[in-house]
Amino acid sequence: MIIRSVELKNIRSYREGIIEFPRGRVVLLGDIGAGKSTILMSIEFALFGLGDQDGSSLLRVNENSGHVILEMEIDNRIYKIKRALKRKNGRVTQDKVIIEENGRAESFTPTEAKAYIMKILNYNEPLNPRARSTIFRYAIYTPQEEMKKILNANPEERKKTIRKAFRIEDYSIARENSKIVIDYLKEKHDYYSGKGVGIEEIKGEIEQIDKEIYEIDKEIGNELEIFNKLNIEINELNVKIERINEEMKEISEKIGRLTLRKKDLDELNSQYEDLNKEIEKAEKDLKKLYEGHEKNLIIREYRKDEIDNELNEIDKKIRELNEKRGELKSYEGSLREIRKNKEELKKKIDINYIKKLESEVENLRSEILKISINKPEKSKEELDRMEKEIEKEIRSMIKKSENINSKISDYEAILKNGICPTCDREAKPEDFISRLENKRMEKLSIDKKLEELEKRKDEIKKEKENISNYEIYAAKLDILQAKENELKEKRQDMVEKEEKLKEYQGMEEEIEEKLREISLIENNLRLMESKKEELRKIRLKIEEYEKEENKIELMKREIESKKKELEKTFARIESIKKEIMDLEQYENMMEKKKSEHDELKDNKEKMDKERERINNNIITLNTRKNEKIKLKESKLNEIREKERSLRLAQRYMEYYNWIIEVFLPALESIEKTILEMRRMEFNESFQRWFYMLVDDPTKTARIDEDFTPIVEQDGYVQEMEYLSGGERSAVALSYRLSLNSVVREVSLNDGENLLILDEPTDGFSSEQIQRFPEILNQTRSDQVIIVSHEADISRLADYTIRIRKDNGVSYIINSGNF
Amino acid sequence: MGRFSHISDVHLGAFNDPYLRKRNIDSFIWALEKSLEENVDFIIISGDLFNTPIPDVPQITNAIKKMREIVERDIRIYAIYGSHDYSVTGSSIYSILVAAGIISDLHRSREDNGKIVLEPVVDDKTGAYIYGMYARKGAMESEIFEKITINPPSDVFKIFAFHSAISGISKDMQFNMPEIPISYIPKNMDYYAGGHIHERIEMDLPEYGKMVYPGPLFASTFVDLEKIAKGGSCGFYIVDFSKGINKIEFIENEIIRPELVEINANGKIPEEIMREAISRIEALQLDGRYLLLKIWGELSSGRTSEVDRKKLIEIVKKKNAAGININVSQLTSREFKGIEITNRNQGNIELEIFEKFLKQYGGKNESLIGERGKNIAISLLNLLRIEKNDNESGPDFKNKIINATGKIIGEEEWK
Repeated sequence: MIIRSVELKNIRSYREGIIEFPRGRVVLLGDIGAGKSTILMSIEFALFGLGDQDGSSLLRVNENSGHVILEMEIDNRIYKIKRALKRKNGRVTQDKVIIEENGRAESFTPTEAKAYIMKILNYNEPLNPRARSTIFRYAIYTPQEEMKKILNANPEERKKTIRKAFRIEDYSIARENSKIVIDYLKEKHDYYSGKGVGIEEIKGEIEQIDKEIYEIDKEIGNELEIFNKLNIEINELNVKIERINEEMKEISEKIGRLTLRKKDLDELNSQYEDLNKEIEKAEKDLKKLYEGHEKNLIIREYRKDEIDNELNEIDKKIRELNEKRGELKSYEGSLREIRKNKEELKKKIDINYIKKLESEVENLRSEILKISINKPEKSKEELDRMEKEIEKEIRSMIKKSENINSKISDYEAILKNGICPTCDREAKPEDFISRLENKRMEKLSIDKKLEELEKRKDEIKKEKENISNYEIYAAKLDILQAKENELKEKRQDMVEKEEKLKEYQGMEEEIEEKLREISLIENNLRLMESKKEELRKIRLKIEEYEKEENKIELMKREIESKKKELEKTFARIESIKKEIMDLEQYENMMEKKKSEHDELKDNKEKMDKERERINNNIITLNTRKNEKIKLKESKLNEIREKERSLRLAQRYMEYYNWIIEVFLPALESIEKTILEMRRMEFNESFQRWFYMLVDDPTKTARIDEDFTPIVEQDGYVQEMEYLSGGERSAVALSYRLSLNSVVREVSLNDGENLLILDEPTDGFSSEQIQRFPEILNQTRSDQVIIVSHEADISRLADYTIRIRKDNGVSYIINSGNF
Repeated sequence: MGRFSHISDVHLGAFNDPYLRKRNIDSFIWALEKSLEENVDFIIISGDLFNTPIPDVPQITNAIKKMREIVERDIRIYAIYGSHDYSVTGSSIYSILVAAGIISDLHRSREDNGKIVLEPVVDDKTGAYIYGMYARKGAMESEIFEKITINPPSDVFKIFAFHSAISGISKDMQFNMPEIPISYIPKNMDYYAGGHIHERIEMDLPEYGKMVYPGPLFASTFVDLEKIAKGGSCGFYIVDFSKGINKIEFIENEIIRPELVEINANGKIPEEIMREAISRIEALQLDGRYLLLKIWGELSSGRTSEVDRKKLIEIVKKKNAAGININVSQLTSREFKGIEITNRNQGNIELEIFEKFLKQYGGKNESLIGERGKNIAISLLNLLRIEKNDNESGPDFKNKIINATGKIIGEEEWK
């Protein structure tokens, strides 16, 4: 953190004031009570609020509001904190806090602001609203009073403060909080071990259940024996019934076949009849077909393949003619294109425009001939310059003339009154007669010159007018030139276009010639098509004749096959008649088997009923057994649950023991070790500072286990009260710097660049003050703010801010001009 | 015939303890008065008249008054700068006293061809030739010593006053002080008035002469006081001379005879030390005497600060002792010696110690030993080291801890 500025309004002895802090060593110099510490208090207030401090100790007496604005820089970011105080009903409280970060402002409650600032500062410490920041207090700014309190405290109190500053408290807090964990583990252990009680009783109950299950199993065994015997008998009966069923099935199959065969015979008889009729009809149809066919014999003179060849030849020719026609047709498009281009070109040839241009050019020419001006010799700029020079000369001449006029009037006054109007002394008029004459001559010459100059000026004016006329003439000439050029271009363009038109005309005639060929081709095509049609008709007739011939052949073959089928049907009728006679004996056998089957079935039904009764018995027994097994299972679960509880109880006990035997003793040891380590660091730092400040090899200093500073001479402890002022101050400053550096190491990872020292050199000898800058260098702080009432200190500072108090009001002097 | 006092290492202003500081000043006044009584012609102080270049003036006012009285009685006080009198800034009380004519500085020299020729101060009463060589801190004067040369007449009494340790002379090298070789010291003097070594030395050196170091007039350190307590002596010399030395006499300073009590603390606890110290103090006759109590060794337990110095001081005061000073610089405690700090990183220390305790732990649960045990310990520590927030209720805080503990120990997985 680097402090950039602090602004106070109605804070303690300040009405208002702004202090700008540069980097480096800044001394706040002022007499005791001038208001130096108020600035430090304000910095702390701006950062962390009031803490346990009473607001009325900060707000200026008789004022109702006041504020502190602190501007600081952290990691290249600028923060501005405004904390305000207000008095209401006699009480002073904090108002809302405004924090501006890189120009963006936000409002906070005092507590929120503190938390936010702690975060910005990276201070990791508990947010106690009744305290300010321990880290700030010990790493950056330890007020002189606080320092005295630490040094003068009894060892126990000092150690307590140091432990707090070094975050050693963490371990005792952890030990204290461990009690919650211990109680919890113990409570859990007791709960689960309570739940685990009574396993043996449940085991006895399970034994009883096992006995009952055994008895039921025995009963089930007996019933099962009877059941199995019955099963065997029923099975045998079933086999017999099955066999009779098989036989009956076979018989009924035979009977079924008899019925089928009778039906088959009927069908075959009617088939035989139908076939006879069909043969008769076919023979009649064949005879009729033959008669018609004989008439078409003539068609046999033509051959189908010859006709096909001729047709192919004609098709080829048609294709060729079509191609030729297509080719010629494509010229129609080109013709349209040419005609269109021709029309467009005709439109583009604009004779009227050319005529208009010609008349414009003619007009311009005659206009220009009328103007005809010579080119001026001088440029306008030159003439301007000359005009200015002449004007300058005219001005100077006029001035001269005025001077001479005044001289003339002076001399005339002398001639008239004999007194010099300039110096009011007497003057002899005769001395001035020739002078007056000279002056008058001089005036004449100047007036003449002036006249010439005016004339010259007029000439220049005319020349300038000539230039502007010439500019108009030149512009017209330019226009004429442009128009003539355009006319020339247009004429050239028209000639080119007419040539192109002729070219199009030739092309058009050529294409029209070609298109006339198309109608010839089309006639030819029509001839070819009619010949082709004729050939196709003949070919169709040949095909028809061939079809009829095939049909006659087919009918003959059909009649032959039907006659063969007729013979086969007759043979099958004979064989079925024989089979029917064999099958008719099975109809009697079926009655006998049916009565045998009914008797066996009655027997089996009786046995089935008996078996069902026994089965129901067994089911009842099994249900009872299952209930017992379920009961046993639930008892076993109960045991398992209790065993699990006991295991958990043991687990909790293990953790409990571990906390007692490992965690807590380790914490104690860690605490001791860390404390000792910090003490060593503190001691090393303390010795180093003391050595730098006290130049006496027989004197050494150290920090004992209670963080008490001890100065020894030749090993003999030198009581604080006997130390010299310089030595006592050295102890205090060494202790303070060591505290700062260790707290920085502990809480801020050594990442702080601000140090505030409150009266650090109080009691120093002048030699010690000489060594002070070296000490400050060693603190490795970018900004050190030192509050001091000793003027010597400001010699060692980069910048001094003086604080003065007049009539109870503090003023900041020479702040800001660094 | 002549007679002079040779005083050295007075160290006015030494000691923080007002009693000792006063005794030191008293000793100097005594030595001056004694010299007056013995009718000396002049006094030589061989350096370190003051303990610091600018001591606390009110404390030494009486001593300076006495010096002026001596000088007014026509007894010259010759002196040289000792290592403690000298200040690089040039401002010292010594230089003021020289300017005031109370002290006559003996160092006179001129350069001659790279050599430094020492010039004598001739005592107007006795005609003795006295040469002086000043001292600087850390024997920085040795560079000059190497170059000095003296050309004294042969028939006069010659004294060479200096404030440096000469190699091989002292038996007791308490400060391990830098020395200069004897070859740098000019030969053939009648009396070598030495200073700087806090030890009484008197010897005849061949080619040189009588070499005398009186040692401190009183004491400037506790080591000096311990030496006196152990039977050593302090004081100054009175020398009679004519052409050569006739007689030299050591005048012992009996202003102080401190008592030294040493207690070996090895294997004891602070309470035992206190008991022993009290009983030994009680057994002593301490009326008007100064007690040096030295406790050293390693306590078996407890803190060294438990040796209650304040209480011991009280007891000693009640016995009308002149004062007490306690040395516990060599007292250590096993309890803290046992704390080995191999690592200066707080997090690593936590890990190391948990590791150590976990190794000693007899439990069998694998979650609680080894790496897993360490992780649980660290997680628990990080959970428990955070104090209850002010805006958090007690039960809320407790629940937060219990829930987080459950997660750390993996309670859910047990069920």
